[in-house]
Amino acid sequence: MNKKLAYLSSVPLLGLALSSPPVLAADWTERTSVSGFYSARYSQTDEEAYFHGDRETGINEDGSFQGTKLGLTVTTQVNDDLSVAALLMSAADENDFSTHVDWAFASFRLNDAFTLRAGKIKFPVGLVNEYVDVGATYPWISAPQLIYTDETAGPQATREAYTGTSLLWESDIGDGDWSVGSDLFFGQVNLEGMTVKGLFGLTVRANWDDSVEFQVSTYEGTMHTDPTAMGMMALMNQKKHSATLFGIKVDWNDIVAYVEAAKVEMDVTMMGKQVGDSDAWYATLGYRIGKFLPHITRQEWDRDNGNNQRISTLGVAYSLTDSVVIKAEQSRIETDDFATQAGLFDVSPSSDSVDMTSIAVDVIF
Amino acid sequence: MYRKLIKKNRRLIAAVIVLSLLFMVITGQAVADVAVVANKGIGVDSISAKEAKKVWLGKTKSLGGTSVKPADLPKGNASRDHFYSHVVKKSEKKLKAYWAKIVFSGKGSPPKPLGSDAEVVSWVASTPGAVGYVDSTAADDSVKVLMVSE
Repeated sequence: MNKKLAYLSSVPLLGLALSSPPVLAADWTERTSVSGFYSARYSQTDEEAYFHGDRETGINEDGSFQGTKLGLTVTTQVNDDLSVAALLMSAADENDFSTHVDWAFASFRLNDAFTLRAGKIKFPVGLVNEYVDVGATYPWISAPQLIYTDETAGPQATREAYTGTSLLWESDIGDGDWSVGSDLFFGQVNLEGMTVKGLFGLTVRANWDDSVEFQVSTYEGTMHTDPTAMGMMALMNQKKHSATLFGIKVDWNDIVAYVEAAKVEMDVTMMGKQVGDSDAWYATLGYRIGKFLPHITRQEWDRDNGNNQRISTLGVAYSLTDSVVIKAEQSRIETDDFATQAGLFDVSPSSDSVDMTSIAVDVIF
Repeated sequence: MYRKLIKKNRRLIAAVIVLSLLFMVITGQAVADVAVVANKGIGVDSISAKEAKKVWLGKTKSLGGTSVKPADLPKGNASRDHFYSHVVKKSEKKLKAYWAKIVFSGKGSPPKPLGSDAEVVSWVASTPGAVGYVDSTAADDSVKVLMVSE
């Protein structure tokens, strides 16, 4: 009992938990479920500059296993209303694998419509951000990089996970084919060299029979950068950061489509010019032919400072079984003013057009 | 004349009769009714196919004021095939993708996996809030039948 209390006290929902009857130790195995995923990815470009990362993590002409990872989710139903869940993830890093707790939170069901969550929670912004590491849940090898990147050079629309609280609401409309939901969240997010504090946001979703989904998100917070930070990072200190995203996803019969757009505003000026704002969007269209899902994606990212980038991707996902998907993609990354701008490259690339080839295997178990 | 014809083709006729019986047995098994059964303490006496679908997709979390705990039969089981194609209306592939999104974002767990009709009936009978689907012939007095899908 003491051990259990110590465990529960680590989550902010202790008060709520204590109002429920205790569970016998023998029940724990019965109440705990474990699921996992594994993704093996290999990408190579025809360019020396590193794309989507630096010398240690990015992708260039020498090839990279970036995105290769193993994840295990453990969910324990403490009682009818309280559950605790965590994702342990081991990702390919530099020249080894490093393991971290990607998210871990407690959920307390207030009634059939409302659930309160507290802990380290995946950012609920963007159509696929809450399961962005699980390749088997979407057609691409990596979720579109010009919106879904945690690189500080990126558009900064989505985030890994925040520490805080979330209030989920879910309801059906009419005879039940339509469902609507929302996620009101606040907390803070720790990034490399920066913490976004006072984070406050709302995501609203509408879903028709799991075939069509609409999502709108908006959030804002204040950036606190390292006191020793230089350049752009120093300018971001104590400045407001806000973003609004809109997305539609269709998975109807054999048609698969995604459209998402993000508008990001960072109150940062350089030499009297606003430099922190950007617009990013992508559109994907795919069509299932038996076990094959060929798809095409166009991504664009336009910034106030002219650091614009576009990516066109042709890909195919082949479902070997219900749980194993093999993927191949060919992308062209175009960078405006490539001589002075880098986009998601670590330094300016040597050409305005860089080709990237990627292959992957995604497994869920 | 008929007698002659029958005598001449008796092997063929016998084969047709045997095959027809076999076909009736096989298809009879495949289309056997599937019953949605519940623990007797659950606060409802019947549910619609749409409500059942929402329970097994984790969207409906309580029935008649009781927290609901659904159970699943293994892949390849005839009752499971019938239940997911006629009631939930999702293929195994779409079902796997659906639960992956929920499980890997920490928002829920799929139904409890059980091995057979007998296991489902015994677990449902002894677990408050439990519901399952079984071949209708397996549903006994220890559980209550909420709906039958033909």
